[in-house]
Amino acid sequence: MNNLISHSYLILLFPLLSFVINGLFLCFKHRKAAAILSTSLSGLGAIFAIFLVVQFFISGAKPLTAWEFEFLSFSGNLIATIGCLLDPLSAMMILTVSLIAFVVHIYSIGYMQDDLSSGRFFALLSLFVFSMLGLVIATNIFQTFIFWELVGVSSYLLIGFWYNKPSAVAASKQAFILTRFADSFFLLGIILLSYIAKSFVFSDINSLRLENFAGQMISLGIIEIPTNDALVLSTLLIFIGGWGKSAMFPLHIWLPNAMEGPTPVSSIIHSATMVVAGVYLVARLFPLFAISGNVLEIVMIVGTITMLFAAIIACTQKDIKRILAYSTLSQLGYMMLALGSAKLIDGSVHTLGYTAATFHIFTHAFFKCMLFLIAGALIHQVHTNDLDAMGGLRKKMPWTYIASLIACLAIAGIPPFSGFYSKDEILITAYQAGHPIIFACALFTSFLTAFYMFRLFFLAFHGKMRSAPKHPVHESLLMTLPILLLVIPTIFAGFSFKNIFHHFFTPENITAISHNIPDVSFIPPLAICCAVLGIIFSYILYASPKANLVKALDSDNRNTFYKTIYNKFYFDEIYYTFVRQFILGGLASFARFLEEKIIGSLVNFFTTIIHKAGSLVRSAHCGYIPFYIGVMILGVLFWYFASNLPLQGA
Amino acid sequence: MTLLHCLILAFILFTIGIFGVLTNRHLIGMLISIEIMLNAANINFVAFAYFKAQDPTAGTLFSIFSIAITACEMAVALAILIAMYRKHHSLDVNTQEINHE
Amino acid sequence: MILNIPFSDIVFYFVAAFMVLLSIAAVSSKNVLRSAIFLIATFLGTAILYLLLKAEFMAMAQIMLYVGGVVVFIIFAILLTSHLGENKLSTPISQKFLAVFLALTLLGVMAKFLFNTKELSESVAQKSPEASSLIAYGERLLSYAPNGFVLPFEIISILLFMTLVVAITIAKKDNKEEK
Repeated sequence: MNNLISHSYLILLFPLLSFVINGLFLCFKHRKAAAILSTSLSGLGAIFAIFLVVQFFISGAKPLTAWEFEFLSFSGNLIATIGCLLDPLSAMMILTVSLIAFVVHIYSIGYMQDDLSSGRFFALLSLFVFSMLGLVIATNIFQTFIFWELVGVSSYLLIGFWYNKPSAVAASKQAFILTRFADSFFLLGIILLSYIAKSFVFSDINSLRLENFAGQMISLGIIEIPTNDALVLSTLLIFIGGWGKSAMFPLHIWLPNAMEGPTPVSSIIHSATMVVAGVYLVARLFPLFAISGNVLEIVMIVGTITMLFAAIIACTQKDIKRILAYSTLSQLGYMMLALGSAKLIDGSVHTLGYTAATFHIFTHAFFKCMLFLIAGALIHQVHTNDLDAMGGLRKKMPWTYIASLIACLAIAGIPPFSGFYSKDEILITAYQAGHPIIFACALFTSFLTAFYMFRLFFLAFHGKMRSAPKHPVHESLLMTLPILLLVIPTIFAGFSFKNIFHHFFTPENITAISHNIPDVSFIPPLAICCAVLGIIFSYILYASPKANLVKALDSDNRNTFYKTIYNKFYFDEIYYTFVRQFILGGLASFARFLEEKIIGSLVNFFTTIIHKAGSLVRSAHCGYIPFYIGVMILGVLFWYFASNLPLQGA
Repeated sequence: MTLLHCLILAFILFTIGIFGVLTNRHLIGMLISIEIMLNAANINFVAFAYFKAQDPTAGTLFSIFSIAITACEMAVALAILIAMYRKHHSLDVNTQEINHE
Repeated sequence: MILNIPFSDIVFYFVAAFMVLLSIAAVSSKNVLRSAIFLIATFLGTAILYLLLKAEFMAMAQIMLYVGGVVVFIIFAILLTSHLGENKLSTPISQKFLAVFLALTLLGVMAKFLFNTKELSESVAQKSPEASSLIAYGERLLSYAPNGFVLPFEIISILLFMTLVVAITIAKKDNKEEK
């Protein structure tokens, strides 16, 4: 216990060991051993993380590099290393990821106990935890990229875990290809940025100053642009990586489809940890974003659109996991909005957005994970995702009901639960930074959030049971225990940590403004009113005795506007048409034409030549003796004619 | 009758032998043609021994050895032919089975 | 005109024509037994030629060994391996043309060598050599002198013995095969 920081490599070692041992030895025949090993190593990791983070914050929370291992040196200062950077942001993420991983492991033991390939599941889950932890402790942007891709791979493997389901395979491919497409821009941004900054390390990048590059030009091969513009361009490219990974509009379609994976996967990857990697990236590079022109505005607008868009769609969906997926999208939009609205109209930077976004990452992780676990428990009992088949589960699953109520109150933003505090900070940021429209959108979205979350709550737990499941509905201990474990941070994480966040979580190299701060004391009551309005609306529509549930659940006899929203604004179809017509029909068939007709015929030409030459040579092996003798004589004649032997004289 | 005449005769016989080897369809026919070729070589030796050599005995004796070896070779060749005939029941060079062996 | 040409020349040309014609018949005959008979005639012509060249021992050896040995052996083989009376089809004309072309080219090449060599192309007068008696042949065959032929003689005898064994081994009936 003396100096845990010197043992901080254990953070990565526990999940890596778990993955390697599970993957190589245990996952084939020993499912239960795999589960136990994975969970216990994850528990050890969680305990270690708690102690490490506590020690770190007690000792002042100064950023430090705990260990670094250089593995690839490009040139000069450009060295690719794997290392561990401990600062408030990464410490918070380590804690979050480790705790949620542990809770999800316990849950998965119960959820996957009937699945024959659960060994593989635990191995992949450990791989994911390893990748995510590697991402958050990164000291440099290169390491971030490596683990970014690893996280994408783990997500692909886990979404398509039930690979016999065509929909799961399609969803995993879609997720991977879309995020990979965004990551190509990310890589371009890294290259450009490291070229300008001459280093990969975050501390170097974050201490760039625009004045240092005034008047310089860099050449990008065919054109020359001012260095400042190149810096802005690189920042934008890096943001596109986060755009894809955090499923911002319009690259959002993979996240709802990623719900094809098992529920523990959805709860850890697609709600609490992986999708916040984009937000984490922007937060980590926040000083760079702050000096890069208008990129933060783009971040803000993208975040707002996503937030509103996803919240509207979530109001009409009937698949429980898809509602939660859109809710995740919406909350991610909130986080991006917070980060983006830090840029004031006059160009200076307000740092509350950073604090608000990181606080929201922290609280959102716990209650969203809990919501997914609850959804998983419901699905496990009722054997279907559809809200049509649920209802009246309040009596059968009391503990789950209470936990679900707490989670919904948290996400709606009702004090004293954690969601209220973090959402409040976001609203304050939006207002203080002088973006009234954004602020109005955020308020409206919090109303919608309350509405659809309680719609889900009422439809699932209240009323009469709309379907008759074959097995009696009950609560299983292994699945309820993690849910109840998560109740604790959902209730307490808000007011307990608010001051810690305000104190420690400010971006480096930026001084907070202290002038012209408008009065924001009216915002918390306003937010609470919006949330309560949402709850009341949804109660009227779905839970009051006069509610017409049949009409409410009907999705066919509706007007066109409702149908458009129900079909998610037809974005899936747009993508599908685009891919099919343009990419598959156009580019792919053109490439196929080139491959088969042009290159193929060239290759075929050579093989035909060789084939014919071979037949020619084979004809010499005819076994026809006169032919052989004739060839011998021809050889003699050839020898004579070709060399004109000077055989005169005796 | 000069040396040139005898040599030309030997060459003509050799050529006829080659023509026979290349054209004949029966294996024994080929052997016969080879006999003609060897015979022509012997004529060559004896012609030189008569016209040019200081020591004609040596030339003729060498031809005797050549005949002896030809006889041995024919013996072995025909023995092989007989064994081959037992397997294929035909001594035609043109048939498909022999060609594919 | 006849008086100017020595008698041996006429005999030579006659024998040469005889040999050439019959050997052409030997190689182009469709019946292989007839080929063998024509071969006998060719060898007989060769023997007469040897007599003209005053190599009597050689002529006798030719008749005894070739005609009496090799050709008889060939006829044995023909009779053992063919069904008498069968008619073979001949080879295609293209193959025959090609063979004639090749053979004639080879003849041309060899003749070119012959005529380019000065000593061979000049007409050489006949030398009458000493008549070698049979005893001289025998002594030469068995002498140990540097120009003696005793070593080839011994090796030939071994070779003949080997041929005997080999021919019997190859041509004997294998009791296992014939069922």
